[in-house]
Amino acid sequence: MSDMSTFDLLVSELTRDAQRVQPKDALQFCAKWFQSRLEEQRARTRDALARHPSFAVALPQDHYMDTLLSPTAGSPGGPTSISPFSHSFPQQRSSLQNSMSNNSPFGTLNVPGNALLDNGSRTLTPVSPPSFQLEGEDITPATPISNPNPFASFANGSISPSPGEFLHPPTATILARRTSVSAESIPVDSETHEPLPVFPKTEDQLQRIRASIAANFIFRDLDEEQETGVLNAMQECKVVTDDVVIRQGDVGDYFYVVESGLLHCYIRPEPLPSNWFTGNVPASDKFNQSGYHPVFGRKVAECREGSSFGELALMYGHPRAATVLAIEPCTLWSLDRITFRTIILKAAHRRRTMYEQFLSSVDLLASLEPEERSKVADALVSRVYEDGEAVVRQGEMGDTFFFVEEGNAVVTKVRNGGPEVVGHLKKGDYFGELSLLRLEPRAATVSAVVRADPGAPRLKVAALDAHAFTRLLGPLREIMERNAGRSYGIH
Amino acid sequence: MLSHEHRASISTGRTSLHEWVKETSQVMQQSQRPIQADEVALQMRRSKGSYRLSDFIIQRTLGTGSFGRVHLVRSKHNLRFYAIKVLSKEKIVRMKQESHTRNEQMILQAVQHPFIINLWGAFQDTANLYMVMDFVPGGELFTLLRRSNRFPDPVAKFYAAEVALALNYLHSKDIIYRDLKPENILLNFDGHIKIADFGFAKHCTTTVWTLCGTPDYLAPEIIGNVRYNKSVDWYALGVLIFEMLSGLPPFHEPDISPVVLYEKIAQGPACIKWPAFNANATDLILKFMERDPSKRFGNLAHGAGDVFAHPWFAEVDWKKLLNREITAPYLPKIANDGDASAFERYPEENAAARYGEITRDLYGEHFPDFEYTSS
Repeated sequence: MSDMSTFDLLVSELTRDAQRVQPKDALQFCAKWFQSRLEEQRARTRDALARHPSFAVALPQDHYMDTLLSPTAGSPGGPTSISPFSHSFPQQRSSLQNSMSNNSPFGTLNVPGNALLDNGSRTLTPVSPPSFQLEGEDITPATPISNPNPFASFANGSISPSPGEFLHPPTATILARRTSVSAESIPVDSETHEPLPVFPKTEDQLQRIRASIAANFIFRDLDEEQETGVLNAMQECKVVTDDVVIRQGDVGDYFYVVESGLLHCYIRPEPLPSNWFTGNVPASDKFNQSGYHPVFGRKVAECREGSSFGELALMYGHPRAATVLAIEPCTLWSLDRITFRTIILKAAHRRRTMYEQFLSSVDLLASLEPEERSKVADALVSRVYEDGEAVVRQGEMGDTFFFVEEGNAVVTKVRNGGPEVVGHLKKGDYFGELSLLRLEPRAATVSAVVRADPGAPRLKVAALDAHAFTRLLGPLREIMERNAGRSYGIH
Repeated sequence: MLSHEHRASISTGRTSLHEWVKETSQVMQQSQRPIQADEVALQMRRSKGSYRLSDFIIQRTLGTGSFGRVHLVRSKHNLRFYAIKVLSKEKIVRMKQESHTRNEQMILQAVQHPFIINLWGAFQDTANLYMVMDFVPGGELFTLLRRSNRFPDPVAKFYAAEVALALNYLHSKDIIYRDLKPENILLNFDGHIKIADFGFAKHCTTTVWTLCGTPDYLAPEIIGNVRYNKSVDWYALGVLIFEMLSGLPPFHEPDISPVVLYEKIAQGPACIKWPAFNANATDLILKFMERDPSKRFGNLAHGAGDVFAHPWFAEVDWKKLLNREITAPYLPKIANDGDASAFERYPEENAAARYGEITRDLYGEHFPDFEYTSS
């Protein structure tokens, strides 16, 4: 690059840009391109001159201001050299946009600060301010005129359009940027042999915990294995009166179920006082209204036997929204996030691996690529059947394909007036795969065996809907033909 | 820069969508086919530059996060402006976010797309990691959206279309983005988007599991603690379109608690009072926000093809849009190269003064892809 003269460099960059843009008027494109480069070069050197004295020194931190270019006269000498550190893509000024003729179907956003609205030579027609209806009333957003300073900081409330102009008044919450959340990555591989914690509980205790967590969305979709793991892992935790179980503002890692006792929840308005986490709260920050705890704030709830709190901690670490204080001695069950997620993940991983193995064993699906097989595994749905319950019935139109995940099934056909057992299915066996190719009446009935030993697992199948398969991957027939074509060298 | 993505052709009219989709996917297939191992799969698109703190003058803070800040900086060598993301190694290790940080650097290094921010290089010193990136002067789409209250249908369509192109590109390289939201979409000097903040991006051919994202934008399967795939990005695009058209995300309620928000997300769009959007927009949003991934747009047999062919995008010329030949509906007013007035102000707290201080370095081996340079 350093061998090329400035001229050659310019020409090669111009050529590259022209090839990319494919302008209709080449001469005008070139004229504007050079003009834009010239402006850029002038601005850069003016800027460099203006800042020259403080070149090597970082600018004062707290008083930094974006200064506009001072309109200094006089143009400097040659172009600033482009070192290997610079990127070669030229910054095109907005004047260059004019040369790209196009009718944008997207209009112009009618909001202050939009450079498109200032330039009278542009012939773009602004779109009228967005408005729509909610419950029959026409609601228009704030017109630009009512917004005097487009770049004013919202957080200190310096903008005040009238409430009717917004669907929701611009409160601090709405105007605050939303932060991301993240749980910890938990490495999952089949080699992790660390046993999950098991704290034995009586049947009674298990029942009570189960009842407490039943309504909670976090536990609603757990399968048996996961639920058992979670119930086993909950650890008994005793607290005495006035113990702070959860402190507002602390990063939460634990979820609690109340086995016995009484606790109160309090919220105090943010920001929390100094010394909140370490020492005593100064008297000036204490409350003395009724319904308030002097330190912890307004009482918002009571937690008794059977209730639970802190479930968000099972998803990710976040500052606790409230303080939970023991009012009398309590027995709690606690569960931490990492243990919870490890339990869930291990079970999900085990099942996923099993599903992928099942799918690999089906001849009809041999033409699937690994990513396709994975998508199908995603779509498998697990179902449990009671003893004797039919999974499919002879003669019914079949659009589902099943694997036996656990337990046993019996296959019967109606012959000579009565059902005859024609086969048995166990874990890993599959049936109904032809439904992926075509809809057909089932040739036989498949039902869960009546278990001799009630302790044995019930029949569990993994079901795949043929329509889901086709939605995700297209018709199976085409996939099979794709492979057939390949082996005959057709594609 | 764009020659990898398309064949040069002079198009006077709109390219037929079907041809374009076919062309693009063929070109993408011809380019690198992802291999198994994560590190090897993402092939380097450009050679790394070697950077150090002393190459730059650190100017104001453009944004802050849990692990550090983003600064406006100026190269002492070519006088251009860049953004440097500064991350505290100690904080990252303490919050167990090392693999996310490694992903961010690795993935940004390997991607190149007009609508995705460029990473020029990454280095570390005893205390911090530094990532040198484009300075994108127009600020966040978030700021523009809040200032505008909401966008008219065509404006929302413009940004949604550009995001769809960027997502399609990432997915074609088996990358899930996982943090789509207006705060992470920056506006370039020409009004086109640059997606930034790849802190949660991950290379994945099948499914992943870690819960991450931003609460309003989390797909139901992420909340449900099950394995999920790239289709969570399409779900998030549905939420984004809703937020652009109405001004707020779909499940928003004043002072909603996260738990209630997640219950609503799990229930799905049926529990929302739906504003009167353009019918095609509503249709597309619902197809993106479909709770069952096996029915969600973008995840079906035709992949992103379904998205590009949807009636709401009927007037979009995808080829021209990707080439940035279409004028954006909003051009930021930029006074000069380093004008950062589009970004909000944050307390500087003299943070930059401590960069480069020699401290005890306990975490150097955790970040092998960040070159060690002395200041």
